[in-house]
Amino acid sequence: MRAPPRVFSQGIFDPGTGLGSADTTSEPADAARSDATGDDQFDHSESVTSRVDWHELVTRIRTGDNSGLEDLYGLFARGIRFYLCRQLGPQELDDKVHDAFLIVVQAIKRGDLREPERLMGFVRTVVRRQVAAYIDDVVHSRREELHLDVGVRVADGRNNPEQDAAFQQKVEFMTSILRTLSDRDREILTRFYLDEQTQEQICEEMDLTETQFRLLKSRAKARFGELGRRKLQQKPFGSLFLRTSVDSAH
Amino acid sequence: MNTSFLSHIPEGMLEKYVLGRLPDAEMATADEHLLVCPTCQTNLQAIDEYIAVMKAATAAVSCEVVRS
Repeated sequence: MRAPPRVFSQGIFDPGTGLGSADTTSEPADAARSDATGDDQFDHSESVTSRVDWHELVTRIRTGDNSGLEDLYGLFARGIRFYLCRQLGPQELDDKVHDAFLIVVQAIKRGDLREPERLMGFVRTVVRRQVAAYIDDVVHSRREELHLDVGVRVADGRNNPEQDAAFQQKVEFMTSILRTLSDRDREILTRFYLDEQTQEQICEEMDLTETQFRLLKSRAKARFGELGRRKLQQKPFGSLFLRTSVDSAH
Repeated sequence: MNTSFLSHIPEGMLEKYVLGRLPDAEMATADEHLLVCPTCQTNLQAIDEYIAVMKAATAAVSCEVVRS
């Protein structure tokens, strides 16, 4: 089955972070294909650990070999940046990424990482703690601000007006698609995306097979991609925010 | 260092990741892979946005239905 066209956006995150710049056209489209087929199996060990010699990398960092630091940065910089930006937004992102690397490198040099093959898990722990600490700080400081000014509001610093407009346009596309669906199909999508019911619950309560459920979701996504592409071709600023992957290349 | 990987996180798994429906172990695996895989980061951004759009659109249509 041909994978549905997919919409990629650089609007959610700050374009300045460069998080949307990966060339998706040159990579396998496993992810896109899996939705309709239900193939959620993923063997992480085949994808990463077979390509990186963690022991050798950690040894180079421990011994102060600059190439070790460069490789560590090359391997994780974008991912750490992506993770922190997704969780916390783009504010002071460079500083946060730098802090994460500092913690990881210092821990490696101290010998805290006893199992080098767990480096990815270790980096994950570091950034998760960083996110938790940052949120704690924000909650604490906002509580104090609230004591001073009850009118204070939590600002969402992630979107600028152009990004908001592009997002709103996509919502309107999707709304128009939903209006064309049957009540039943719309209810299925509403239960899943809005009410956050599980696939199992929806299938059971609405007497659906897993395949019917997946097909409905895939079709909605495909129509969103098609309509979005068609409409945004007519609008010059659209191309700044939306591009399509070449799922059919595989 | 080669960071081009053979396997990527399937879309269904990424969707569960965004919706917070992955078991802890799979969440950890996905997190770790996302730290080193630009393709999956980009796919996740797309799914993040698609789900945000779907939430807003289904909410809008539900309101219309209620009003009518």
